[in-house]
Amino acid sequence: MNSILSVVPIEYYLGLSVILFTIGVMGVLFRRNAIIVFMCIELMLNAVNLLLTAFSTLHGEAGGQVMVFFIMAVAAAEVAVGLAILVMIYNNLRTVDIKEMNKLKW
Amino acid sequence: MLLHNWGSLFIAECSISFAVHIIVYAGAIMVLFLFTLMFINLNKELEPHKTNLVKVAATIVAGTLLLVMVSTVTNTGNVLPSQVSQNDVGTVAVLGKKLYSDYVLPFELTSILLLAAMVGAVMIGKKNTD
Repeated sequence: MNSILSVVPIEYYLGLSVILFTIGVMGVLFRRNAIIVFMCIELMLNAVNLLLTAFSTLHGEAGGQVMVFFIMAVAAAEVAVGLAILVMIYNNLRTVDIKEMNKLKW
Repeated sequence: MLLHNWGSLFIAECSISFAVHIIVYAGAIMVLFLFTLMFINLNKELEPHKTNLVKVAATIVAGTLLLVMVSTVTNTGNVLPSQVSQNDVGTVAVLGKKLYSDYVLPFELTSILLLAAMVGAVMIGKKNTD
């Protein structure tokens, strides 16, 4: 097959997206700044997108890339609502530290 | 954030996916993040950090996850398909046909989702007047 996958093998895509996903998980667990946590969630979504695209090309099946579109739409919606919530939280609490957002805990 | 962009650039094999990715991420999501960063006052002294115990636990958890994923990938047998049915899946024509034939209902639902997100963001974002 004469696609990019004959130049860059699928294993590299697998490795890259596993590493990207782990960096995302690491960031969510490591940081307390809510904006960084949001960015790391985006990173995890993108790792999955990358893998879906790579495998969709590998198998010659367009369904995977359609799924990428839907994931992107959901990510955009999530970021819009999430950042609006974040701005409101900052207006009320004057911080974006997720440790301070514990009113719903217990 | 650089890795973020590398990941998107690696999708270059599929023209339409790549273009949409650039438009959505550079045009929409990055701008949203930048606006929020401008609204929110962040400086180095106020940067919150987790305790060392939590950091160690987070490293262990993330490392275990990496290990599990790597071992799953390496233990999986041959993933290559015997034959590829179609070689031009990344083009606009193929994806557009698929999107408007098999995936019409999810596509329309996505538009409703985006509308709901837009209205929701405006409702959340506006000042409380009462």
